[in-house]
Amino acid sequence: MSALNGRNGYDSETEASGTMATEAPDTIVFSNVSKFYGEILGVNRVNLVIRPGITSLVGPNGSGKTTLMNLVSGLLRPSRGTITVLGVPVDDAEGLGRRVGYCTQVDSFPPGMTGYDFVYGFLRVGGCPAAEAATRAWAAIERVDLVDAAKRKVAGYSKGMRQRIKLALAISHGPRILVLDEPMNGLDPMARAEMAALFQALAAEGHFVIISSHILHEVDTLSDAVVVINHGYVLAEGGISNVRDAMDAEHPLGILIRCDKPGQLARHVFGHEHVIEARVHDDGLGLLVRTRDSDGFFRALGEIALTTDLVIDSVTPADDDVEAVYRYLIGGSGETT
Amino acid sequence: MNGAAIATGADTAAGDGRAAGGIGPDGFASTGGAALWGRQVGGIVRLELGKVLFSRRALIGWGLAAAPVLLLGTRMLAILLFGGLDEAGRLPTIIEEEQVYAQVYQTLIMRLCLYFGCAAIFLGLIRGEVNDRALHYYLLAPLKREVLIAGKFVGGLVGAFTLFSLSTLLTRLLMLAFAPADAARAMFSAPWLTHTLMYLGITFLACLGYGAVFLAVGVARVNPIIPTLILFGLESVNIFLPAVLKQLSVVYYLTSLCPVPLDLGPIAIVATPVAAPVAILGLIALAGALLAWSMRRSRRLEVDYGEE
Ligand SMILES: Nc1ncnc2c1ncn2[C@@H]1O[C@H](COP(=O)(O)OP(=O)(O)OP(=O)(O)O)[C@@H](O)[C@H]1O
Ligand SMILES: [Mg+2]
Repeated sequence: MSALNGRNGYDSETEASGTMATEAPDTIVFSNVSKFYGEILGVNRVNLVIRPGITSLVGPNGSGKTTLMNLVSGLLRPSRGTITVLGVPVDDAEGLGRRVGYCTQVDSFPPGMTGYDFVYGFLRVGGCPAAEAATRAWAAIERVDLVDAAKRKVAGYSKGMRQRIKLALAISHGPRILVLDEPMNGLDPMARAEMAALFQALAAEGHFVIISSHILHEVDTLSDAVVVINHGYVLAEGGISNVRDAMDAEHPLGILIRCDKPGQLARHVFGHEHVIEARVHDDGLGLLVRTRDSDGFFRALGEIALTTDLVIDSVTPADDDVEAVYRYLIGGSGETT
Repeated sequence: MNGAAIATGADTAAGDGRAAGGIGPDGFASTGGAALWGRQVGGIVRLELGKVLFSRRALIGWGLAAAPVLLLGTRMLAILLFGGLDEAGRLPTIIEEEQVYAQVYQTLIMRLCLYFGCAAIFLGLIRGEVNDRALHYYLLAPLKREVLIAGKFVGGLVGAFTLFSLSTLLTRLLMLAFAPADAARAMFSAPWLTHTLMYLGITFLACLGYGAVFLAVGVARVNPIIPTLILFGLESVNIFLPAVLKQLSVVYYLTSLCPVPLDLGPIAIVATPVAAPVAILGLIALAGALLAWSMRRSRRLEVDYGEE
């Protein structure tokens, strides 16, 4: 997928954006934005400034990531507050459409179209003349490495191919801002790496790349900034390097072990010296362990599983848990409350 | 504000020309105004025609357009096969056929086929996209919502008129089958030709009027079944409606334009037609008002495919 990293339509935009910086603010600004679906809270009182580079929205299912992205791209209107995108208010559908390319989480397409028809057709909807739309469509399809499949019906595409043809449409008109809702979903590790490389290339050229994920470590190495969101509230935002430093230096690894008798497991676990904390999870169905030596701990855990009758359902890093991330971000003590 | 925004948009995308094979600056912004809107409407019509004419959903439209052709075709065959209208084998004259056609047109084509055909086509413009979960592709395209709605409407109109002008034309041609010897003469002499053109005009106005109604219902994002049936009921009893409501009924204008009035018998007194120019202008005004409302309303259009 080398075409993805190659020179492309975004290249010289950086120069252009350099000259326009004085005219329009080079940021996406949320001020006091709330979105309600009837009675249901989407996001609440969001204040955010997003700058060029890769920004990751991280939060569990239903936390409001898609809502935020739909708001930035004008698919939803805020119930309260204002959003401006490079100085453009979000009710200017035309101005917003030029600046934003959005690859949504929705995995559906107009029926009966080939990949090429899809990209070409919507470029034409935007008013691109026929010849230019054709050139742009092919350029975008090449960039996502889908040339061979371009003349086949989208209905026959794999999940990863559908993801990529959506991405091709999102970048086809050369927007400054790229919004991608869970772009890594359905991609194999190779494709993920290529996708990540593309994001980094775009960011290096001065683009805004906004991606979402419910797994922090899927995006942490990639991101210039992370926005942690939960239950519709932005819990924290900041540069990922600070966050990561804090996590590495001050905080031992947190692990959540789901098992039937967490109390019993805790007694076994405490026998190992590298464990500095082990407490039963609030729901009584798991054990939260903090350890300075994760490799050692996992070996020990294997032994425990073998030598006792404990049923261990799952072992997950507790730092996937947004609460844990939040504590790291705000520099808390790491205590579970 | 807007002007500045567009200008920076052009700047922002100015570099794309190179990737796009050196085709100059951003194709979206280089020519603003009417030319751009024209291309955008054209782009939407392109996609829309595919759906209205050549998709699975198009079968409803084709079926409704074919129904009157099949009905009149069957009748014609029956009369020819069973040897005419009476024992003497008399075939209907073209004047008699005009009366039969008026019946078929006003009751079947105008009130049923066009009504439900336009309902299917124009409700599909927004609602169909929601069902396909594809509306967001349109909402994300760099164009004004007003232009989007206009493009969708034009697309529906071209599609619906293609289907139903074909239907009107074919049913009109079937009339001539009874007068094979005279067909050529009848065809180019009044009233057949003028009536045919008038019916085509009415078909167009029907697509325009009903189309605007159903586009508005679609944009309002309400469940369309109830409004569709209520409107159908109102249009059906249209001649009994009070004068004010009549003016808001599409059928009222269309009936007034029909070249051959139906023999309504005793209820004919309540059916007061309006003059043709009034009818045409009334219909255009009605459609224009609904279209304007749809455009305004579309600014608030949000994606909502239900909870994911
Ligand atoms: N159309 C809708 N109608 C009602 N509630 C909605 C709608 N869309 C989202 N919600 C609610 O808003 C909240 C935020 O949803 P959102 O889709 O933004 O979350 P998310 O972080 O993208 O989740 P996921 O990881 O599952 O994609 C959830 O509680 C959800 O149930
Ligand atoms: Mg989501």
